[in-house]
Amino acid sequence: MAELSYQPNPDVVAQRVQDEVVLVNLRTNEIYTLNRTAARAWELIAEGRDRPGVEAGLAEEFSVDDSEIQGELDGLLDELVEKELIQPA
Amino acid sequence: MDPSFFARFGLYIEPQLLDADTCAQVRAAMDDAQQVEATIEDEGTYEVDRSHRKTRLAKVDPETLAVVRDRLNSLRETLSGHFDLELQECEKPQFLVYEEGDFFRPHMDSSDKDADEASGRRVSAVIFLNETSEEPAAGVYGGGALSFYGLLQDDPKGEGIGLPLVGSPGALVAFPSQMIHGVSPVTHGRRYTIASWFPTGAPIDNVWGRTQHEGDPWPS
Repeated sequence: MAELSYQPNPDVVAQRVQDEVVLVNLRTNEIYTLNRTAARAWELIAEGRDRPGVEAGLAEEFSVDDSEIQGELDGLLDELVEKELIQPA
Repeated sequence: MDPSFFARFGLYIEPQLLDADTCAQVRAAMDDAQQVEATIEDEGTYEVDRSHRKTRLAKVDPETLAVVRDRLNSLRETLSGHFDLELQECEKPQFLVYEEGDFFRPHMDSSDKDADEASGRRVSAVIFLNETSEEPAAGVYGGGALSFYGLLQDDPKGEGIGLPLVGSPGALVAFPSQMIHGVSPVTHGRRYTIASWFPTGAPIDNVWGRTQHEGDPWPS
């Protein structure tokens, strides 16, 4: 990923529901559900953390090695950008 | 959204309360029945208000009514446990036919200040009887989504946003009667559903007390 820092698209509404986060893109009316780890990544992004900060936060909270976190985060960020759920900060 | 999505928010989903044959029999009974315009309740009186609710009630035969009522009441204990309430038997079910252009604006089925029959309603239930489809075809309908409001409470932008539930034939969704919900306009076909309510004498805990919402896509 070229960008190191993202923020939620202002057209997106987020709602935590138990372990998940539900996202509604108000512009497209599309609704998405993030699983436990993706939900936490979303919240770290929303807190204003940059890419290394999100990785560090996930590594701290989940028992997963760094390379796996990086791979998963790459995929998640690509998808969130593609769905216009986040944008460069 | 698939009905199971709404279970996350505490709604109760029964994927197949009625089987396909029963759905077909009930739809046929609704088609054969006398149909009258549905009313809304306003301070204890009931009136037709097509700007708020435009649909028809089918007065089905006693046998069909009994079958549906029994199936609904078979869930009473389950729903009592799910919602942690001592629910009584359901009200007489309403058999609702939505034609193209019909709708029901966002509303609550009960509120803590009601002083009429609706005051006893604690859990609302809707049963879907036919398929939805984007493309017109025999036996299906488009639009007519049952949307729930007040679920996106973490973000002020979520106020007034309804999440649409797509029900499959025979499925039941049950929810607190104070939860704001509405049916968007049917765009094609005929939408068949059944609605009923489970009362209890206990006071309402006003957890779904938000009443303001935007009307889109309901017609002005």
